[in-house]
Amino acid sequence: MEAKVNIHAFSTRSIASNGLCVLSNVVHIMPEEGYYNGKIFHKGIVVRTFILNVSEEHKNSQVDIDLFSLPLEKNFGGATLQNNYNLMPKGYIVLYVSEGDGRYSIILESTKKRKVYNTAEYLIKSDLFVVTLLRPGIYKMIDKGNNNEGQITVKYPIIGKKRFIPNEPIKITVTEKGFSKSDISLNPSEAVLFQIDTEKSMIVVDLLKPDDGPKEKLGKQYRKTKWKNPNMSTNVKKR
Amino acid sequence: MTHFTVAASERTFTKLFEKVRDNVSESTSGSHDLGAFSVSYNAGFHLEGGSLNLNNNGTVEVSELDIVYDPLDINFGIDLPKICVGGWCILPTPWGCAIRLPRICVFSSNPDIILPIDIGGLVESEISGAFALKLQHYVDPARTPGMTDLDAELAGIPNLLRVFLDPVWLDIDLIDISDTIGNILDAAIDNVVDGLLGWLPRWARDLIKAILGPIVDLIRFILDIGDDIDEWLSSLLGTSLGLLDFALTYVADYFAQKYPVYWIENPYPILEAENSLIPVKIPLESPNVQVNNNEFILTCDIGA
Amino acid sequence: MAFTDFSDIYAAVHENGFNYILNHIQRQRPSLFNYGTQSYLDNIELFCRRIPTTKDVIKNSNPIATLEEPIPIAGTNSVVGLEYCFQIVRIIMDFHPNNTIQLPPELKSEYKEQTISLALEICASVICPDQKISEKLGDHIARTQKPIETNKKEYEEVPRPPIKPIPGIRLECFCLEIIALLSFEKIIVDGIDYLTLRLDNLEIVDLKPENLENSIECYIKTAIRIGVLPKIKIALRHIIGEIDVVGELAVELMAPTPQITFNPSVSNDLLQVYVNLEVSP
Repeated sequence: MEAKVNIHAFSTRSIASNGLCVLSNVVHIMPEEGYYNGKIFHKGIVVRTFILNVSEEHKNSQVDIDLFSLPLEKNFGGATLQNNYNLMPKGYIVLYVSEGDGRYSIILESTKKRKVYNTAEYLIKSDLFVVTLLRPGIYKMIDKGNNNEGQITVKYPIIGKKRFIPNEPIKITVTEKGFSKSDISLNPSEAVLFQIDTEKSMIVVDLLKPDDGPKEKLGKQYRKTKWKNPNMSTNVKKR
Repeated sequence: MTHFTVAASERTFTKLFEKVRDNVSESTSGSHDLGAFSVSYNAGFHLEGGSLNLNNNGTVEVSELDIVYDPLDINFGIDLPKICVGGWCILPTPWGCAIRLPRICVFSSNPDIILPIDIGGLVESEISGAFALKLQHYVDPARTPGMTDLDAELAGIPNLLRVFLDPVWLDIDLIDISDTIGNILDAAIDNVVDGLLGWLPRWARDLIKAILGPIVDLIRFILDIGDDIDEWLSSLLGTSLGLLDFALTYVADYFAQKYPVYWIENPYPILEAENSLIPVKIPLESPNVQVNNNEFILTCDIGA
Repeated sequence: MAFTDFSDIYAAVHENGFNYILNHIQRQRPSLFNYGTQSYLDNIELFCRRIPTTKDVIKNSNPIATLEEPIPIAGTNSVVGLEYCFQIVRIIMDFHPNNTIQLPPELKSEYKEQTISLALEICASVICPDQKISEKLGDHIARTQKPIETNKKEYEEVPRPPIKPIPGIRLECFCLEIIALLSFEKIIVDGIDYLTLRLDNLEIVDLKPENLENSIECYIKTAIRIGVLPKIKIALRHIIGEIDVVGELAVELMAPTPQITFNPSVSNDLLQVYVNLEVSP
């Protein structure tokens, strides 16, 4: 019997939109029909590919793409079977990472118009970037695309009589001028939803000062003392 | 007038009953899936105490006969809820959620946490009941058709007249020892949780505990303990595990068939073997047993 | 009134049942009731009455009768003897009160409470030596044997050889009717309680002359007291149906009380015993 813990979720101190991890998501709208080739990068290296088919024929308004566990392409009699996703026009792709150390990005390239969407560079208007924060402490939020900053405080968890139910994500609009809310406070395991309203945005949330709670008391420590009999000679020989 | 009569007072009969009681000892084990949690157990029991009353209606009444469960090791397999983050609806519409983020689980126990509790010697049931006397002519299965009564005696398998206590009715109740069990349960839960989470940094432990809520209460909730631990334990041991029924059935069967309260050889050795001389055995005929509120009586005739 | 009003365990045997027990003992321990010298044991038909026995006695090579030495012939220095047999062929007990056996006048005055009357039929016969054989033996003894020495010491020092039976013809059996008075008593052997019978008196019915009757009565009384009754002892736990063994109980025969003045008790045609559980220290 053991606890199965997603270690990376508990050890992440920095969450950035250009390197997705278990605590972050990017939601991107696909307005136009067409075939798109997708590449998934992990720490700058292509690890998977996929095809996204946006067409009126399809009814899906959302596809979830797990950047960690997308299956490898299968080699089938010389042909390669790609991972295929079907989406309706104006549907959304939701990028997430189920496990692992993060730093994932994608490039989506339209086969027709050669338009490229690269999360490793910038997020664009209408993109959503969601960050879930677990560790209590003070975080700095930065929009590197527009040089704006803000602060997020994650409170220390309170063990109450009932189970804690997190609130809905706090929405922050990101513009060239800055964050619509630059100083927010939330409970651990709650989220911040960044609505990108600028052409280029790169959001980074860094842990500045962790709050690990009160120090745990050590167990009892006994001070060792020694007493020497003053009446006994130190040169007594052992029999 | 019958040839032979032997009567035992209620005090003597109680001693005979105590010998049967003291020989009862059984164990059982099993496992059950009870939906929200699973249970495996290893239980043994024996009998203690009890008072006996002989009745004029021919029954032997036993009250407050204790079934002591020892060992009683119960392991609960509990599936703690997973802790997942995400899953937010980020684009609600009047027709439902247009975009919902996937959930990422950051904590689960794999497999179910095992919560062991050892309550041997702390749980007792009490049996009360009434028994009628049952007389049986017993021939040992090892006796072959060619054997004479003396052959059987010399082989250690003589025929017997056996008197059993055949249950007329039996009741079983669980005894109230809630304080101890409640404490043991809480201590066991704390122990398991410490083992499960102890290696995590404090903030992570506190986060998990905050999300799960007080784990003792959570586990009690999962186990469906409620306010009355007696009722819960009684229901668990009785209904869910069938332990009380098992004990009751075993005890009833034991008294009714396995261990007689009294037995006498038939033919009866009136003179024992001496040097090379064979024992002198006398046949007992028309045996009868009865009780009244004073004594147990066996009567029979001696065959020619 | 309950059986166990005055004790923890009560047991009773009715005289009819006890007589069946005696019959069973007679058939399963025939050597207690039948005695004879070698010729009789070699030829069972010589006995006065057929010896009833069970197959188990034969199968387990138990003796049918007890071997006895011939009765030494006086004047022969016990060199030769007379062969004989002796059987208790019928035995009936009557527990107090006396309602089955008719007592002779000599015993009526001795009959009291707690007494058991016993009716026995005893049969016996001898093998009478042939006249010619006797005469030849006499001649042989006259020629070869020394006069009987009165020096007791010399007589005792020489180990006596077995008495040789003199061959002959069995005479007709004779049977005697004997009435006896007995009582039960408790004895302890190797720490175990037993009930045994004590012979109080005995009378041979209609034997004359009286002094001959008295002498034979003496012999029979002695034989029964020393040779028969000590072998018929019944363990107390057998009387109480082995309840003590079943329950692993320590029991003891209750000492007489104002309510139970005799224990064991013989009354109302019953042998009754009252037993208490021992109180552990």
